[in-house]
Amino acid sequence: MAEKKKLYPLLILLVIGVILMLYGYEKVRGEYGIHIYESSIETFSEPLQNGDVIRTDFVAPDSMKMESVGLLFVDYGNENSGGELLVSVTDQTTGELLGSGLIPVNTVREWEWQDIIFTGKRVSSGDIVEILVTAKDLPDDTVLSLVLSKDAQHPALRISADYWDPFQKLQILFSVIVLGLIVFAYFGLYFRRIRLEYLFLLVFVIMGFLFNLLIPAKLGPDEEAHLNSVYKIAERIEGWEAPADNLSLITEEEKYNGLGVEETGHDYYVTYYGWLAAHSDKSALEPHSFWGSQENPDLTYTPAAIGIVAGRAMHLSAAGIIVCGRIFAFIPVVLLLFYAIKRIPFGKEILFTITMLPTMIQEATTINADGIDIALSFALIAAVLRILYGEKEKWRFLDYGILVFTMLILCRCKYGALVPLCMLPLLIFWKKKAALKGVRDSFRSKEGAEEAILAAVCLVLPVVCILIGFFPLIHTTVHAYGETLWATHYTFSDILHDPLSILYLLASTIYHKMDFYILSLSGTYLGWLNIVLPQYLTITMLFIVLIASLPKASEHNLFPVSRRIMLFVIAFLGIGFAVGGMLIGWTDVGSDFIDGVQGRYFLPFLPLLIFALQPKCIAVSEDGSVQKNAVMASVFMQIWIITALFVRAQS
Amino acid sequence: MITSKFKTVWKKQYTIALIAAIIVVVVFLFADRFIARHMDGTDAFRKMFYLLSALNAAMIAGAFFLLKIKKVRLEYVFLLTAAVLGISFSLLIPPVAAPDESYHLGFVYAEAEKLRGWDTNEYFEDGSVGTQFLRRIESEHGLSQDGINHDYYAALYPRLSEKETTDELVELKYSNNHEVPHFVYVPAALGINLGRMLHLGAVPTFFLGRFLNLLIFLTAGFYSIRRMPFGKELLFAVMLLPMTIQEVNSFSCDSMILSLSVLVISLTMHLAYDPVSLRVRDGKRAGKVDPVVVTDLVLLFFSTFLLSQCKYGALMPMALFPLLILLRKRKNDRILAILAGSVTLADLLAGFLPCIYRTFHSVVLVNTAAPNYAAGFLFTHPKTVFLLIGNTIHRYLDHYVFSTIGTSLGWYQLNIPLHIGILFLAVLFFLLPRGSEDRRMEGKAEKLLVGMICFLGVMTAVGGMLIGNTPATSMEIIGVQGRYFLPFLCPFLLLLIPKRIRITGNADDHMRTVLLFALVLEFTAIMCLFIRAF
Repeated sequence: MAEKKKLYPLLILLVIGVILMLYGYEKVRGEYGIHIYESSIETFSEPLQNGDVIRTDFVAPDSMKMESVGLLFVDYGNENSGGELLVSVTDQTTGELLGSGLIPVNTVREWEWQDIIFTGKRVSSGDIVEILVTAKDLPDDTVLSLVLSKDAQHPALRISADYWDPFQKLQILFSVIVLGLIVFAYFGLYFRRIRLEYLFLLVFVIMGFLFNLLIPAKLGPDEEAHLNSVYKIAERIEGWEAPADNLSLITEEEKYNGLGVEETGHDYYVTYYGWLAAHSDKSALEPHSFWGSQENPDLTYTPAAIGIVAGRAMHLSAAGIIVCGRIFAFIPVVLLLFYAIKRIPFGKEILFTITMLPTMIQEATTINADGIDIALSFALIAAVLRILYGEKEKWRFLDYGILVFTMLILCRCKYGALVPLCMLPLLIFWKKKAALKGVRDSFRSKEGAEEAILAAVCLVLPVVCILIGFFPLIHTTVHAYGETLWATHYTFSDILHDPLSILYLLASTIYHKMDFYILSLSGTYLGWLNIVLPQYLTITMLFIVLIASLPKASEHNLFPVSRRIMLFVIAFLGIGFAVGGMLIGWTDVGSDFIDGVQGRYFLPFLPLLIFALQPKCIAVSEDGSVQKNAVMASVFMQIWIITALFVRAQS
Repeated sequence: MITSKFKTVWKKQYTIALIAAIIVVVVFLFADRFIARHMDGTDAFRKMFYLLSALNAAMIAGAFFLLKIKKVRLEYVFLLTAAVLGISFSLLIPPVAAPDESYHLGFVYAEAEKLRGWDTNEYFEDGSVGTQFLRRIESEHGLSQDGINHDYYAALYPRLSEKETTDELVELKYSNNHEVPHFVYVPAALGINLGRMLHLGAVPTFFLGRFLNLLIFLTAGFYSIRRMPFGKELLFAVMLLPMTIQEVNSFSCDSMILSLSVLVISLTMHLAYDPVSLRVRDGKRAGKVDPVVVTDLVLLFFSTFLLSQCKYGALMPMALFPLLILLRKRKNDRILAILAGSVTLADLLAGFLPCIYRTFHSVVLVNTAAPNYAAGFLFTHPKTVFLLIGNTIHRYLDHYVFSTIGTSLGWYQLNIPLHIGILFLAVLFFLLPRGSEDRRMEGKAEKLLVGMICFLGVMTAVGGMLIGNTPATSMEIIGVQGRYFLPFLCPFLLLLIPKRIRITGNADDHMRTVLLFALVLEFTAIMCLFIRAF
């Protein structure tokens, strides 16, 4: 009985999930099915008089059921005149009438679609469907202005059908997959006690693939710029040589494609999925101007470059090649995040729920610098906390390795803006510094020697990283943007000479831009800020992270005040570097706020802020049920997010 | 050594005061600099900015002293803070700028006329257009709900002291109102009449009318917090949300509705959860009827009775609240339980049903030509209903949540940044956990009842707008605003009090700290309203 009772919440979640899926289906399908045909302006632009017949036809694309015919009166001037329009749709191949209907002229309103719903008969692929519109009983002096002038922007005839296009199929498929994930997560969390890192692996990989298909190629944030960097590395892997430094070589297929448009509605997705499925033999090389982002070291772009090379080898289309690159770029991100959740000694749920934010999934699954940067940051945080709080075990050398590896990469990422994270090992140094005081004594035992070496490394490595990262940061900031642009941006000198006005600018930025930071951090603005999710979804996700962050009573003293201050300072510096970088590199003098900052820049520091600010006065139950529920909620929200992404494309 | 000495001298309260003070100072300095960048010199707007900044900063300091040092009871802190915030918001959301305020002002005038005996026409017949008399300065007040910017404020504030000696009357036409009983306009009407008797100009007269509405709310809020058995802090926070403050400071019927709602909630909770009984159990008066309980019951009856007739009967779910007393007291105090049940029944028979009849008569029958959704159509087209609800949630839930909090004040033209709204949500979130010994709703039946009341409250508001306001061509429900859900927010939050998240230290102290930061947020919201003027 108790086991059965545990299933009731799952039942409720599934009912809500199915309702969302059905809602998504109805929205994607449209009010009267999918619009499969819209008349071109030239063929349907005559004014109608009594007895006029307008005729047009189109070739049915696939097996479909005619649902409705819609007419749009763009410039209609005779609202109360009598008469009717008889609309009939015929399958020309068989001569069968598919449907017909009457539009009383006095019901017509300007700019409103007049839909005639048919009973629905199926036509075969390739059949020619003919539409006839006959004006009947119009008063003699009436000209019914179903008019489209030559420069009009809208079609006047629209055919809708119950027709399964790839976008519809994917909506159902994706929703079913996510519902499956919810069931798996529920059983895993409440019945099987699955380890969180394995649940993460499954959910994140699947959601990553779904996002990969829902955020079209080149539409990830800054994806085109990062893609250029990836092309340059791919060029080296291929052994090609560009004729000049400011050029890179790509295939003809990659150069000439329709990717990267900002309008990503239903029709774009249908075309896009067509491209994805296609193959291409256009492998001739084309020079391509190289203006890629150099904010990250080449190593971080290499997986994507390997994916691009693999895509070319498989003769995929341009979209397919980019998706292939994305998949390869996704792998190291997943592995690093898996490591982070597995090895962090506490707060696994915090990392899990952050990784479920739509922004996080998008960053991981598109070609850009942020995905790998965030993953490296989380891995570093996990390694440091593991060494600080974990017990000694054989895996500890993996943690040391990750610590060194992530620091050496991170200090060169984002023009050095992530350098503050490299100060994290100072926490380890502070704890182990005693081993350095009596070095000779320490080296008498294997354990002591290890402690002393660790302390020394944790002291020296941050300094080295600061040197590696910070000086190029200044160098880049000073020289990267060239002299012409330089004159329009803020300078270090401005900051030093008038710190008060910079403080005002900071406050003004908070006032004007904090909404955007919060929403873009949580995932309201996906793609190039053009794929917009409802705010209530992403703010709910943030509150789920907040709930997962509440500590148990036994965890209240994990971070003494000094460590909290250290974590806060690191996070503050990191955010300060990101904002300061944009102040100097991007913001025009006289601007009301610091321009160019996005919420995703703060994601690497989010766990540190949470640990630093965890309240001591609130405690969740020791059985971990609150965190478990937060994890489950973050998985459940994915069905809502997926549905919202599909609905967005339709509206 | 120094650290330990410092620790003994420095108290936790000082840290809280320091953080609050830093935020207040930084926000003020930013707002001041922002205003200075956009205007030269000192005009009435700027003077008002300094005045309200000082007033609100002093209010926060006073609240800190009362909440954290003196630890006085919350209702007294409420009186201070709600009064200051009420006046501040009233000055920043000028008369007729609140939602539907000019519409409600007409009914306030009608009541004012009745009270003064200027009644000349039979103007409350169904569907008819009536006539009323206004002083010329009131009919030509020059106030608007649009274009509220720096220039508007600068012209408005000097008018606060204007006087009018001539009482020239003009005749105005207006339409009838079946939305609420006319009683709800009486306090504002008294204020208007007071202004007329004192020969005040139009603007101060309007502010006086609004102020009397605020006084009623302060009284109701004070009494409600005092009576609330637990969740006082939640009630306090809900009553100080920017949207609540705006509504109680306007001529809108929401002002009285919110005052009555908090009374219904707190009296019900008090009678249901506190160990009170209809008959005194101990002492000299043992066995006799407790006059305090009887007073509360009578107050509860009148409050629910009036509420059940408001908003075309959409607030009837509030009248179901006394059933909570029936549930809780059915074993310990049967007479009290039966009386509470009778209150609901009486509300239903004497208040709700006649109100529904009037609504049906005036809205459904009179507006048969209106191209809105008909109930019959909705019953036969479940798919349309499904899409209507889905579309509305998908498109408008953001708006509902944040307009309940109050990020869009006035007629959506007085905006507070979204992050302030999110912080208000966080305040409500951190007020939810209780200490391990604190009370909360425990029984499933009680939770089910309160949940059902909240659900019904939302559905009546949404359903009313679907039938009364949504054109049949629309696939979204039009016209629902977050403020319609405010009466149900506190009971909903009481339901959410978690079992497995607890306050480990002094729960009362924690709550008071959160409330203090809520007041700091209010200060920030006020500064944002000043900045918005540019």
